[in-house]
Amino acid sequence: MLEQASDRHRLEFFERVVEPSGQVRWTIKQENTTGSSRAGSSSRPASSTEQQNPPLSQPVAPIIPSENPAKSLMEIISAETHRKKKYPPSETGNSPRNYELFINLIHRMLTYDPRERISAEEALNHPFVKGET
Amino acid sequence: MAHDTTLILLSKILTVRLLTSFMYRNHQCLVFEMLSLNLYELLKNTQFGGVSLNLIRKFSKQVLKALLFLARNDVDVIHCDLKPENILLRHPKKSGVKVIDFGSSCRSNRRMYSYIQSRFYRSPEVILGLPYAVSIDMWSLGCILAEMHTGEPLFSGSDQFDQMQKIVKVSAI
Repeated sequence: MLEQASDRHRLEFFERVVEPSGQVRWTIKQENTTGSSRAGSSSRPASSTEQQNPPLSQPVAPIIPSENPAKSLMEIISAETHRKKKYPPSETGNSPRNYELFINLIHRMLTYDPRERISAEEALNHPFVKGET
Repeated sequence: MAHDTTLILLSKILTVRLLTSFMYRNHQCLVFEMLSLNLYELLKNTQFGGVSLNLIRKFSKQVLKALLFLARNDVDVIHCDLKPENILLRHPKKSGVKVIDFGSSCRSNRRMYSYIQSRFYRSPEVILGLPYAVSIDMWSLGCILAEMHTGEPLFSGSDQFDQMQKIVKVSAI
């Protein structure tokens, strides 16, 4: 996806790293060096309708995520399971099998490439949504 | 306005029903059906503990049907601001939901802005200023469903930069 983004947009978030081999890759910037405010306010943002120019396209190498301590979706979602023992899985559907399906569906919805992201039609046929367990 | 025809189409299923509209002191006023809590308020009622997978299944089925409707060739609307605040329960004690607030929505062939969607639910292609399509609503829905279960926003970026960092840091997506 970064291949299609303009420098103005992608350099705001990513750094171009040239490997000794001459290969170009992208890593996410660790600090916000663009000087925009990082007030850290946790208030829920409103959507913005600020106008920006359309991007230009330019070919580059694919994005490689940084090696930061990263949490997987699995950890985020299943860590919560421990807090939810109030009701049995029979009542809530919080069974291991359903977690597996749920996380799979979220993965499909959060696919970076919009062309590969699950469509509404596919999602309606996903086993989590159909509830075939 | 092209928006009017859009609203009439949308009023059919799963999206908020427009009852009437009128002009008042040069303002166009739209009257919508009365609905109940939004999903953010519902989460608040769980002390942000989240709701069960069974309930999430019921919500996702309905929102997906709404998205399927919006994606039809003869409708072709991108909501552009899908978030828990814009999904409302029809009744406080039942699981029926509707999608509301098409104030930022657009036709996919007539995109108005490149800077859209509420930050937590903003898709990578929008952050990068790329052309977008109905699939940006699916990204938002993924974020919403995860939040409905954990009780907290999946990617709670404090600004656009932090948002991208948080997205990339959740590995294995």
